[in-house]
Parts: sequence; structure tokens; C-alpha cells
Amino acid sequence: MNFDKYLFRCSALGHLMSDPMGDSNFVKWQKAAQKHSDMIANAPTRYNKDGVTQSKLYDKWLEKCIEQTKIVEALHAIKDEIQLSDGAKIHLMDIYISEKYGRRREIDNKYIRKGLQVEEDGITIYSRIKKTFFKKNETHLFNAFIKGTPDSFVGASIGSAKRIPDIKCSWDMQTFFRTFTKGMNTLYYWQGVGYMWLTGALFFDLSYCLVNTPQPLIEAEKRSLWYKLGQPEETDSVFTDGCKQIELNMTYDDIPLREKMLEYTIERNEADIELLQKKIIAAREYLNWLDAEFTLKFAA
Amino acid sequence: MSNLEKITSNATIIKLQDSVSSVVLAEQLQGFEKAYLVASAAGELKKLLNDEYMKPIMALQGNRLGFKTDKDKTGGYSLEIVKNCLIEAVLMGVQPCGNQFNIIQDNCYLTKEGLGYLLKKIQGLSYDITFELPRVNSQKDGAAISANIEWTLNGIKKTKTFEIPVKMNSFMGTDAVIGKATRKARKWLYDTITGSEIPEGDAFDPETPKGFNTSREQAPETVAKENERFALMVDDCKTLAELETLRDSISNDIQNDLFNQQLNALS
Repeated sequence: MNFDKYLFRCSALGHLMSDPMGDSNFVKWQKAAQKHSDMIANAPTRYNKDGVTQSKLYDKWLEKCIEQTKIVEALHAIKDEIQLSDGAKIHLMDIYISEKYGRRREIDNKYIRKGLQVEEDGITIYSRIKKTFFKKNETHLFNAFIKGTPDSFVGASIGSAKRIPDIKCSWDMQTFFRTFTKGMNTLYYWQGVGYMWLTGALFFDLSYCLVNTPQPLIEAEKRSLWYKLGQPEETDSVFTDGCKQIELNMTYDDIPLREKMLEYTIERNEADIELLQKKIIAAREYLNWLDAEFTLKFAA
Repeated sequence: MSNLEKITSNATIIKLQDSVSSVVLAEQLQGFEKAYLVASAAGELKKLLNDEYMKPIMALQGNRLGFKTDKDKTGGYSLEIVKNCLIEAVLMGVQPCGNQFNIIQDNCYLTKEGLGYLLKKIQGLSYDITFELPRVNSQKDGAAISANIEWTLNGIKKTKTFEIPVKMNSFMGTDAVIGKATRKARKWLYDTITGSEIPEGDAFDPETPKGFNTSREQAPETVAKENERFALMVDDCKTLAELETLRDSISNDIQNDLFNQQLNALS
């Protein structure tokens, strides 16, 4: 297998972009260089009192200083190397399994189900607030590194988009409002960078929308409550009150339209795109390395 | 008199055809002479194809009876761009109808139909292109297909077998791959016989800038949701000015009716 031309999904770019635990090679190099400078600044006197023989303290310092120089040089050589985090490597392993064996973990939970089911309703809220009729984009885009399908676009066409709106439908009011303090999460940030790269857009507008939960999902929540309460009679007041609260928690017809959307914007940044390219090249190399390792292992 | 009647009944059509023929039929000319002829014909066509004559041509935009573009879903190209591409297409020798050329990223590209038409016009040429089944890669984003071209030109028979790489997307089937390969094979044959170089690409070729894929046909539930959205937005409009901003978004009769109802209510 060869992953030299593997295209990464925009929605998963954040997995590649997370930083490795601990200091990066660059920071390690900076710290080592600082330590080296400090050692030189604090060098002991070279000679003993007789002014002729070299002091043992100086000998030890010199030895350590030479050792530190080697460390600085070694780190200097790799300071700009792109490192992949453990999380990124796990993600790449999943890609490898999916590509080689066709086995992939389908992530399915109630949050994702709601997101998919109410996608169009999210666009409706966004359109009404923006007073612009948006349609769901169905055009799949790719370049030499990444691929993706932005939700919608502002501009004459997806290929000459000015802005890329992306709509995320929150599970409930709590998760919706928590975005205000959390802002844009890393996964969405890099998804936005990817979409701007693909379309040439200058802005990525991430909008969290508060959309009524589809009835089947509300019913599932009620069933879950019923089991939690030990399968009571349907007229049980604790159960019926709980159901009323679920209905209230998951529908928002009483909330003013303007309070149903929180938008966060990021601007196109070429340095981010450059970093993405470097990470993708490193990720492809890692995938090729994985393939070589397993081929060797299983051939034995 | 309709535009179509005008265009088919008066002398302008003859002038248009003369300009095109002066270039298309002048195969023996080369270099500056040919360039001068092309420039004069393009200038003449630009003058002759005024807004009135362009109206029926604009109506051909976006369907296979006319010519497809990469902006069909977003309202198509402006008259100026269509005119330039049309001139380029007819001077290359293809017809403005029958999807013989496409407009992509403001430029004119000949399609497999267009190349088929050009090949058909070459006197003394007969050809046959056959393909093996395409071999799709594991990522399903590309395929290789072996093409065998047999042609006879003025009694001399030749054959050529070669591999054609085709970029794919997840919505493409074998027929679409063969369709793309047909264009490439015809282009190869035309370039080989005439020594010219036809630009690459067609409106549905993922090799065109940024690898755009064609979208699937809209599902009925998507259309229903869009109509629902349109209805809510029309209802939100409290002034005629607000309502007017939605006019360009109308994409079907239901939306048109909703728009007009609100227009009457606000008038």
C-alpha cells in the first residue's frame, strides 16, 4: 500500500494537529540552548591558585559543557521536524486498518444522530437569522492533501466562496450555551482551516444552532428514563414529570429566534495551511511506515 | 417576432456563419496569418452577437441540448462570459448545441461530444475506440482503463493501445469512468491526426480546478425542507425590500407561489 496521495477528511484534521505530550523538539532545543548559555556564563576559574594547573572543577565543567553542546546540536538538527502526537498516531492506525482491511469504527450516538437528522433545520435557523437563503452544499471538494464537503457557502460558487458557514446543532441548551465559554473546539477549528483551503474562502463561520430534537430521539430519552426508574406505571408522577421535563429540555419553540444561534468566526491564515501540509506529509510517511512494519512483521 | 425567428430569418446569421467558416475552413493557414484571421473573426462575432442575439443562446445554458457549465446550480454565467466561450467554441469548430462544449471556471472546454463532432468532420477518417473494464484503486478516487483505438485515415490503418488514468469520486460508476476515458481517447486521436492541442477538461471532470465533483440530484425531502425554509423566510419579511432580497433564491414553482403570495400581501 502507498499512502503518498492519501487525502484526509477535513472533519478529522484536528486529530492530526494535536500537539504531542511534553515539550516539542523546538522547545527542547530552546531549553538546551539556554542551559548551554547559562553554563558558559557561569564557567568556573580555569586555573588553581598556582596559576599553572587546571582546576578539577573546570575539568568537570568543560566535560559537561561539551556534552551539552552535543545535545544542543542533536536537537538543532531535529527542532523543525514535524511530530505527531499519540492521538494522531492512534487516528492514523484507524485509517490504516480502514484502508487495508475495510474495517472502520462507525461512531454512532444520540448527539451525532440528532446532528444529522436536523442538519437542514439548522440551516433554516441560520438562513432566517442571516436573512439569506442558504442551501446545503452537496459538492465534494478535494485538493492534493485533503477532502471535504462544506455545509454551505457565501459567494458565487463553492469554488469562489468568500465565507464558509458551518452549522452544528447542539444536543441541548446546556451544550449550546457552553460553547460561549469554550469557543470553537480544535476539531472544528482545523475543519474550518481545511474548508478555507479547499474553497479559497477568507472566513469560516461556525454556528451552533438550537434546533428542536426529532420526536423519535425524545421518545428514546423517555424510554431511557422509564428504565432508569425501574419500569414504573405510565401514570407514575415521577415518570410523567420527568417526561414533561424531557420535552421542555429538548424543544425550543418558546425561545426567540435570535437566541438560537451562536456564531464564531476564524480568518484564513496561510501559516495554518502550511502547517497542515507539513503534518499531512508526516502523517502519510507514518502510514507508509506502519504498512512497511506490518508487512515485515506478518511476512515473518 | 421572437428572438429565435429574428436570428434565423435575417442576414446576421449568415454573417455569423461566414465569420466562423473563415477560421474553421482555413486549415492550411498557419502562424500570423491564422492568428490574424482568428482575431478578426472573434472581433466580428463579438460585434454581431449583441444582447438580442445572445438571448436564445443564454437559454441553452445549463442543459445538454445546449451547453453545461460548472455554475448551472447557481444561476449560470453572465452574458459576457458565455459570449466569449461561445466564440471560442465555434472557432474551434464545434456547435453551440448538443453539449459540445462546457464552461468551467470562466473558460471554454470541448466535451467528448464536441471532440466526436470534430472527428466526424475529418474527411476520410473512420475510427473505433474500445475499452477494457476500468481498474479502480483501493481509495476509489481513481481508475485506470486500457483503451484501444483503431483508425483509418485516407486508407491508412493504424492502431494504438494505451492506459488512460481517470480521477473519480464516490458517486461515479463504471459508465462515468468510460465516459471520461472516451473524451480523453477522442482528444488523443484528434490531437494526433490534426497536430493541434485541445485544452483538457469538461464540466464533470474532477480533474478540473480543485477537483470539483458533480452533486447528486436533490432528494425530495431536501427540496421539502428548502421549501419549508423559504416559506419561513418569506413569512419573516415585513417589507417589500426585504422580500425582494429573496427573489434570486427562488428555485421552483412552490417557492415562486410563496413569494408572490407575500408580495401581494405586502403590496
